[in-house]
Amino acid sequence: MMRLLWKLVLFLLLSLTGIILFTALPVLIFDYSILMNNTRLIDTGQMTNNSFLVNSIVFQPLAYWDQIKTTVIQLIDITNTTFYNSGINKPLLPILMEVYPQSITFLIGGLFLSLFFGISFTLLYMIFPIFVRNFIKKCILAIETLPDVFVILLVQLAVIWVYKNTGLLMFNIVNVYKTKAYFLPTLAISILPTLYVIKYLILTMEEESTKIYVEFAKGKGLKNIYILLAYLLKNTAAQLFGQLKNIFWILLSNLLMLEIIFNIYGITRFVADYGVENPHLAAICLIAIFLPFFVLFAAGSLLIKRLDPR
Amino acid sequence: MKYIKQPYFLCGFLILLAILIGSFIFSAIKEPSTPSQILYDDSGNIIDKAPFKPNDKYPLGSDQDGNNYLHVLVEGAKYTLGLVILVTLGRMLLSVIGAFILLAVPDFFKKVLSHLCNIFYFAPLSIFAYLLIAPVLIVFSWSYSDLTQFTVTMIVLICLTLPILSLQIANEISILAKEEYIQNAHLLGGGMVHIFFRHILPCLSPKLLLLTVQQAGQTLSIIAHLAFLKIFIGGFHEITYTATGPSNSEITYMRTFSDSHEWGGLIVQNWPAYYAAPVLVIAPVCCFVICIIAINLMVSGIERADQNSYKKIKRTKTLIVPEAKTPSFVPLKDRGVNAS
Repeated sequence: MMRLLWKLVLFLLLSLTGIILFTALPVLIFDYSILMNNTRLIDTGQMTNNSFLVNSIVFQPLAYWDQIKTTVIQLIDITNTTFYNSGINKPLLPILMEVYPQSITFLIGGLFLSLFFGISFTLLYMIFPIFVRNFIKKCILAIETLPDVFVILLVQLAVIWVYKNTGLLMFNIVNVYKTKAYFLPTLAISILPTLYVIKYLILTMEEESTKIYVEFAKGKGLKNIYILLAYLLKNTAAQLFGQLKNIFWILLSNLLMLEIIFNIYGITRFVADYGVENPHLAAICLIAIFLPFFVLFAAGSLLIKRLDPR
Repeated sequence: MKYIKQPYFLCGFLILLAILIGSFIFSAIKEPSTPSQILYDDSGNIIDKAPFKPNDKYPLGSDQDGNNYLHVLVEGAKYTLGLVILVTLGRMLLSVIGAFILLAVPDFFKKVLSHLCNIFYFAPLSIFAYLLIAPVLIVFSWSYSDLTQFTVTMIVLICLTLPILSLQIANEISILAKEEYIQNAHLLGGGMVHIFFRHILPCLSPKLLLLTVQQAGQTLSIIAHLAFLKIFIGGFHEITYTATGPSNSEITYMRTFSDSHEWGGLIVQNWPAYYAAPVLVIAPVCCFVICIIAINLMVSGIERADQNSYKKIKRTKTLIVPEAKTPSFVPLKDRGVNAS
């Protein structure tokens, strides 16, 4: 138990360090102090012609180190953190609190939706006869290779198409003013993770079902469904949990596309808009995305350790 | 080359080759034409204004200048795929070198690096790329020359997955290095370079091929993502328009155009027109999808070919081994249970 806790703490610390080190990288290769000064002058209207400004790639380890320090200080003192936006410094926390919960709702909702759909579909799949299974497997492997951009565009177009033809608006398609779209976005980002979960579960379950204990259970006369629920699902759950990182990653890259295509102003777009001018903002947002994953991951590993001390 | 015989691999490979060669041939035989922004029918009536809707002459419609969109896409294919090939080859080459460096440094460093690389799972890769590319291409684009912009973009795209890739290859090499024949080669006096080229590389090359193709697919999807984040990879130029607005006031607006008609650039360029003319965005996205599917076909072709050869080895082995009696059907006496 102690070893696991130690491992989790190490994981947390190293990930935070990694994020801070990465987000400070632009300062290492670009001359930020001059660039930001010029941006400020342009934004406040003190400089109108910017065509004479020339800069080149530099290498500044000292500025990099300073940026790391700034990021850490801003991170600790998060209530007073400000970020630069068109000439003025704005407080970060109110805006972050506006964009963050929405994205996290999509992420966590998408995660649970994909796990739920994935597991229930796999259970259905295992009941089907073998020739239907092979067909389904091929279909899933084929769809799974589609890129996220395409899938999300397709969902949006499908809803628009249904609306055009039947006049039935199933869900809000884009965020316009104050009506927020919730269900469709969550569904849209959970499609590819669901397929991933199904693919992974099918492969592990089929491998698991060739093992001797399953044969023995069949020989005892236990019903297929009972074996499926009581043995196979339980024994593949831990392996599926190991894939949490991958599932989360697929969800995130879907989230980015979703926020752009569905015009949702969420955290990834917030990072893209202001993260370049404010490296510390990028670090804070990435940590904000990382934390819920870490909580889930830590809780899951502790739970598994508790149930199965091996 | 057992892979060329694999139908999946061949299929994907041919699709990509056809797109690439078709693009080159097209721009060689293309006649320069002046596009018109207004479309007339046979009797001279105006029927459409650019961007045109898809029709017989314009299978995918046209862009805002009245260029045939299909031609634009075909033209852009060679830049997109060329970029992908350049980035992928750069990645593979550098990551093999990186793998050697990793093998030379102490294990502790490798462990720390692999933990730090975990951060790439906590945000989309394209966001990481964006944070490093956007300073030169969007936010401070006024202070950098075109050449700097291009080199920085390329270097970032190449170096982004370098740590992960190097770690992967280093692991493969260290697994291979434990094989008996390689240790024997050491004992027989083989040098490091000799052993790498003679013994490790032949075993590593199928793995490297698989990684290369996978990296190509990943690069494509990163380019597509970056396009949605409004990054022109293949260069861009801005044109300022003046139009007469309501009550004769002059409105000036700026639009950015892709220099090379590279697909990602086309997506960015036409994104403002997405709701008016969805084809302009969906067509390049579909081009990306076709290429990604072709690459995935190649990946599964490689995997299948490797599996088949593995099965063949297994089968020949099992033929040699005489069939042993399974323990459950051996009489108890023969098993010697009672003998004791």
